[in-house]
This record gives sequence, C-alpha cells and structure tokens, in this order.
Amino acid sequence: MVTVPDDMPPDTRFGAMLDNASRDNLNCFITLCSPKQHSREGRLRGAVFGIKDNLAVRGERMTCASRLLENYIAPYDATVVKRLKNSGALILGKTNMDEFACGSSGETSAFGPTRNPIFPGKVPGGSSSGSAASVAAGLVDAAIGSDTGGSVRCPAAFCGIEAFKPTYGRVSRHGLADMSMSLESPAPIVPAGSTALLAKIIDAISGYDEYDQTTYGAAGTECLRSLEDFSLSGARLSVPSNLVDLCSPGIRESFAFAVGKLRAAGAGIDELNLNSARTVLPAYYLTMYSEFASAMQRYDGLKFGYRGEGAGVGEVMKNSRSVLGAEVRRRILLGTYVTSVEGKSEWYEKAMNARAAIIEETAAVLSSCDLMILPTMPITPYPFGERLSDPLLMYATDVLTVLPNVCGLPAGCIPLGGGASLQLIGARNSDEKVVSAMKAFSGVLQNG
Amino acid sequence: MPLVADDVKRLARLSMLAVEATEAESLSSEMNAILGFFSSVKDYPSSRRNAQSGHAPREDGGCVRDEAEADSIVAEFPAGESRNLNVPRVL
Repeated sequence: MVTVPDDMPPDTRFGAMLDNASRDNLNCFITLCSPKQHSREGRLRGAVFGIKDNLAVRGERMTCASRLLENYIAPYDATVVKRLKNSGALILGKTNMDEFACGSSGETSAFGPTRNPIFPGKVPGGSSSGSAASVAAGLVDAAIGSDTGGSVRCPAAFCGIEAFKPTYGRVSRHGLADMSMSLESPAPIVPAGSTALLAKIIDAISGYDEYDQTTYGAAGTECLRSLEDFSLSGARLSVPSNLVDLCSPGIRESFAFAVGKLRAAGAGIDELNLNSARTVLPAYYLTMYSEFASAMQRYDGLKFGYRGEGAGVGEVMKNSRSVLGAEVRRRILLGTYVTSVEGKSEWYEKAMNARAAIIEETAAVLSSCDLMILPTMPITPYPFGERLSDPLLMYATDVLTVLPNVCGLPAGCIPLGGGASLQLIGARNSDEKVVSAMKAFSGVLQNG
Repeated sequence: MPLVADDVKRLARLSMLAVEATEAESLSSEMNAILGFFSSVKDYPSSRRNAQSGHAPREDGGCVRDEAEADSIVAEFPAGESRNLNVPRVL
C-alpha cells in the first residue's frame, strides 16, 4: 500500500486512496465508489470515508453483504451520507459486514470475511468489520458503520481504534437497512487518537431529520466545541464489577491497569453490581430477533433484490429468501417464534419488561456518576472459525456492548493495546461528555 | 414447551423460509439451546408496563382513536375501494 500524503489537494488525494483501496487484500470493501466525486467546502472537506454496506449511497450497490441484494442499487443517499457529502466528505467505498448485520466477527458476509490488519489470522470483529478494518489499515480516514448491539464498538476494539455509538435518536436512521429499529444507530469509526475527527463527524451527522421521526426533537451535537471540557480530576466513574468479572484474565488485567491510571489522574472509581446484568443479553437478543424478523419481511424478491423461481407468489418469496445465510435465517425464525401467539407472552413481553427494568437501573446509576466504564469486549480477537459454528459462543461476546443499545445511551470506546479496549457509557444525550471523556482518557492512557 | 421440528417448519412457513426436514430437527435443538440461554427473562412478568426507553415522545395525544379522523385519512387515498387502498399488482 502506498502512503497518501494528507496535504494533497482533496480530489487528488481521493484518487490516490481509491487506487490504494483497489489493491486491498483485507476484503474491506464490497464496492468501490465512483471516482468522479468532488469535495465541497465544509468541516469535513476532503475527508475520505468508508460507508457500511447497509447504508444507502445513491447510485452505488447496497448489498448488506447478502446475495439477496447483490445487484441492488440505492436510489437515494442515507441522511448520514447526505450530511457527510454536504460537509465535504468523499465516499471511497461500501464496506464489508456480517450479512444483514447478523454477527460479531465479520465472518458471515456472502462476499467473504474481512481480515484484521492489526491482528493477522484473527477476526476483525463485526458486524461493521470492513468499516473498522479499512480505518485501521489507513485505507480511509474514517468510516460509518451501524451499531445495534456493539457493531461498531466490537470491531473498533478488535482493530485497535476508536468508535462511538450516539444516543438513540440523535442520528437519523433514514437510509439504513434496519436490523432492529429500537436498538440501532449509524455510528462513526476513526483511527486511534483521532477523537477530534470523531467529534467533527458526529456534529456533521447528528440532529433532527424529517425522514426519521425517531429523531424528533433531537438537537445536533456540539462535540468539537466541548472536546476539551471533560476533566478527570474529580470525575466520578462507575464500574459494573459483575460485568467486568465476565471478561478473560487478560482483559481484566488491561482494564485494571487503565482504571489505576485514571484513578492516579484524579478520577474517583465506584465499583457496583448491576442487578440487571444477567438479563441484559437476553433482553437485547429477544428484542433484536423480534424486530429483525419484522424488518426482513420486505426482502421477498417481488419488488427488488434477487428473485427466485416459483409457480406462485409464495414459492417465489421462499426461493428468493433461500440465498440468506444460516445466521440470518436462524434469527428470523427466532424472531417469528418469540412474537408468535404461543411465544410472545413467554418471551417478547417479558423481554420488554426486562428491558424497562434495565433502563431504570442504568439511569439511576448514571444519575450519580459522570460515566460508566468497563471493557468493550470480554475477550481479545480470536481466530477465524473459533466461534462461528456455535451461535451462543458468538452471542456471548456481546455481553458488554449491548447495554447502551438496550437503554438508548451514548457509548464510545478507545484502545488499550493488545486487542483490549475501554468502553465509556454516558447518560442519555450526554454525547458531548462521552466524546470529551474519550479524549481525556486517551491522553492519560496513551501518555501515562 | 421446547420446540420440535414441526414447530420449526411452521415458523419457516410463517417467515417464508425454506427449511428441509433434517434441517428442522437441528434448528429446533439450536433454538431451544438459545432460548434456554436467555431464560432469565422469565423472571419478569408478561403483563404490560410502560417500557419507555426514552425514544421520541408523542406530543399529539397518541394514536388515532376517532373514527372521523380515520375517515379523513381514508379520504386522502389516491385510489381505493371501500376502506381499502389500491396498490399496483407486482406479479
């Protein structure tokens, strides 16, 4: 790969980076976008982005890493893409991902797995695998993924970079092929130590969008203006010890070392047990299955996407959906069951009540501290194939990342080295505080 | 009640997925294992509570309750029969 200087004119630089990406051997991209782009003036002028392939970029393929949408061309820009372009960003490519975001490793794409540029032979994490790998490899300046249960934070952790999931409803989901509409958000990924860039991106993409009414009342963020506001001296940080205890010894050691440095920098650390910790993963997955099964109903081959053969409508639909991968099919079946007449009171309604309890308890914790901190992932990156055949092993890796999604809270992550990563969770709408804290923490943890 | 292969086949029909008989057997085992792993939610009641996750609140008083209001929506249909909206045939 050729190093592309930052001081080249934006359009020239873009061409050079596109050329680099065409020789990518990490399988970060499903599609490389049109070279005919010009950078507008704006806060992100000349910044080169990868966009996860479940977000619409007008005129480009949008496959969701599935054969079912292999030749689907997006007819419009997702709101986040439009806002990036209006801010001067250039879109280099549509990044690889787990099929329909169903995964945490980057192994289930119908277009082959993405490789980890930092830990060869190990998974890059998912589902925004290509987004994270392309940032870590320097193929793009930044990327936008989607985070439903950790799908930007997990690959960011496994690739040694930073990511941030906004408060639910602060960034429009218009143009995102939804997986679970009450849990997810488009979310940015940047290189380690690039929190200022992260702040600019969030400021550019956030705020009310008339095309997504879940953003009703959402103010745009001011993360760049607040970037230096957070002070570790006197900060109160809560640590959910019973979640930390679920981590591998290596992760616990990294986390403890980081906590020691934060304490030395003046932060107060409160260890607590989150009573709802045992139900957060079930509440997440049961909610996600339900919403996913519903979201996937539109992919029937009738109006767009791959159309299978068949004598009637039913057969055409079934044969069209026959190209879906095993994990996607498994989640559709589970979602159909837990929302069925016989399943919903036993599973779905209880999951909703569990979710409400988790939200209450977490809000109470965050009302008495500045941030909650914990590891991002319970393990370091693992070899390809190690968890793919056992869904439960895969799901278990999400245990630390799903909490912010269940509660709609902002959450960021910064690398600690060796595949470990620190996660920061804030109260609802405290996005500016979380991003500022990421900068402050990085300063201590990487220089101390 | 644990799921059996026939349950999986029925769920597959509902969700427009093709599932072979042998696959239905293995899927039922997998799904039972997964649901077993998530069984801690069973400690919660299934009666309704306000599961507000802090999403965008409605300020317009909630869903359509007034029949007259529904009539005004139906009146806006570009083409319809009775209270049904006409859509183009796709097959």
